[in-house]
Amino acid sequence: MNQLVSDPAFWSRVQFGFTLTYHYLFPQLTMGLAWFIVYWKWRALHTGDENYNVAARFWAKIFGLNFAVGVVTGIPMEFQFGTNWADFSRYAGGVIGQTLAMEGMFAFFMESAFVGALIWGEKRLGPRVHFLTALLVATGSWLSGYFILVTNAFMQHPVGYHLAADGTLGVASLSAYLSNPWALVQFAHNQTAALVTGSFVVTAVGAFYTLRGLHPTQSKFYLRAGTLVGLIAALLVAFPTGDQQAKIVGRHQEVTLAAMEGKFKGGDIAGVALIVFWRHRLPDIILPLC
Amino acid sequence: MLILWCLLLRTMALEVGGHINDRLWQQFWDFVFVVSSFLLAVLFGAAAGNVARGVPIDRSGTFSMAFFTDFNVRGYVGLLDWYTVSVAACAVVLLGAHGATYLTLKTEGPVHDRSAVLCRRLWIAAIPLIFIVSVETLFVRSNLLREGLANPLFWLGMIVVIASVWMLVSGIRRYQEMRIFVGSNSLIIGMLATGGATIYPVMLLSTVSPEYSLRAEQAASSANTLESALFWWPVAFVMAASYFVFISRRYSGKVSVRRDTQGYY
Repeated sequence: MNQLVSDPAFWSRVQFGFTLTYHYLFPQLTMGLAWFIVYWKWRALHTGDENYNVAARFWAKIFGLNFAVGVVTGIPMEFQFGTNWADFSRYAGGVIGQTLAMEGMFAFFMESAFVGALIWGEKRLGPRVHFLTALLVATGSWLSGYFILVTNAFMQHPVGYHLAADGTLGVASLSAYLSNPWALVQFAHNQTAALVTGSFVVTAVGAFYTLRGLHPTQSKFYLRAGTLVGLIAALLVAFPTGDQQAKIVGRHQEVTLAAMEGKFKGGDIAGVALIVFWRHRLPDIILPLC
Repeated sequence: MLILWCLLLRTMALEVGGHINDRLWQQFWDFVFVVSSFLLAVLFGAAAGNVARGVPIDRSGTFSMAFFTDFNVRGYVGLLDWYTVSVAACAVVLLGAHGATYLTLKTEGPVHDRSAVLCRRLWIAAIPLIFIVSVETLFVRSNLLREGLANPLFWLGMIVVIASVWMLVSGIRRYQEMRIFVGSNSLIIGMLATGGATIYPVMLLSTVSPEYSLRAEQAASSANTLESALFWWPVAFVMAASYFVFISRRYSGKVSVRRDTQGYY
């Protein structure tokens, strides 16, 4: 244990894990909220009901705040690829650098160019273009998620790469790399989870307003949209997306699935474990994962 | 890491400064915004100076640097020396002039008038500073001029720089805001392009020994990776440029406090 604590790699992992976890709280919410804003902008456009615009404006402000904090917390993460994992970046940068750059060029530029217009540009843009702006922000945020998940999927299940003469990795097939089956499954699971987060936050604000007797029309909008999307997304996050995610983990990383399910002894048949207690000591299987 | 801190503080100041209607709170975050923005200009300038001067890459192909050593530009140099400090000072004045030019173009009233005065003063300071830093660069890396003269892109960049300076000077004389802004943009682009064309193919010069320098072919990814990037990058670039054009056209003209707030109310 002392050896572990005195190992700089251990602390680098702790630092990176903290940065990653803290950062992820924000994009998870913005990816979920983005489509609520699109929905309310679309309803405002088609019904002419100003209340939908009020809802969109309120949530666009919350989106903007979370987007800014998401960017701020995301920058250290990219820096830490260099400061904490320089050798990994040198080895795999030819592959993962592609999607990180694509995320910046295709998604982040789209999202950041239009988020300002979404929050401050309603008068300048007019209702139709403002709706389009909301749509582009939502598309940008989900596209951003896809490129980051492709990068992560490569680290879990590498495809479409080749080993160059200098011992580093390069892209052999961009299409294979971008359509990594792991990434597709992970994206579906992750985005439905983002919708769960977004809808729970929307529902919570609606419930708070209702309990306080504030903004009755708005609270009705938030509760109706939040609970409906929340219910559908919560079902989808479990099945089929969560199921497919677990199956692909089982196909390519048996040990990871065993750890996820709390199975620390081999056998022909694995029962379902709902709650796992470690009574004596940390199972041997966990130690290599620490 | 210093750049990271400045980027974080700058974004935080922008984001949280306006959320509490308290004078002390807002002034504190305005102060944080000014200091972090100023330091960013200093750090970007110092970084550009380090790229131009070189860094102490050793036989292993790596380098580590102290914040400063003996302020000389040869051997085991530090992040700051007389050359990188002067590039940083030039960058602060140049970026300040560029920012004041943009504010003059986009604002009206007292902010416009103050920006116009600053714009004029800062450009008067920036142009001689750019000349001084260029002469210093020739002293620090004497081979650059010889290599640049043989490079057609260097000449192209120089034409852009000279045309930009002419636009700036004539724009300031005639009080033409758009002319100054176009001149300011093209001057920065021309200087970066000239610098890039001149130092190529050395990406990072070693101040320890030229043979340890990092060259473009060593720093490049594999051919397949570069081909993939060449395939998607032009598409992405056109898309990003189109957003920029769209937003610029929609937000053309002076900023109006009444018009550029949220909603229709």
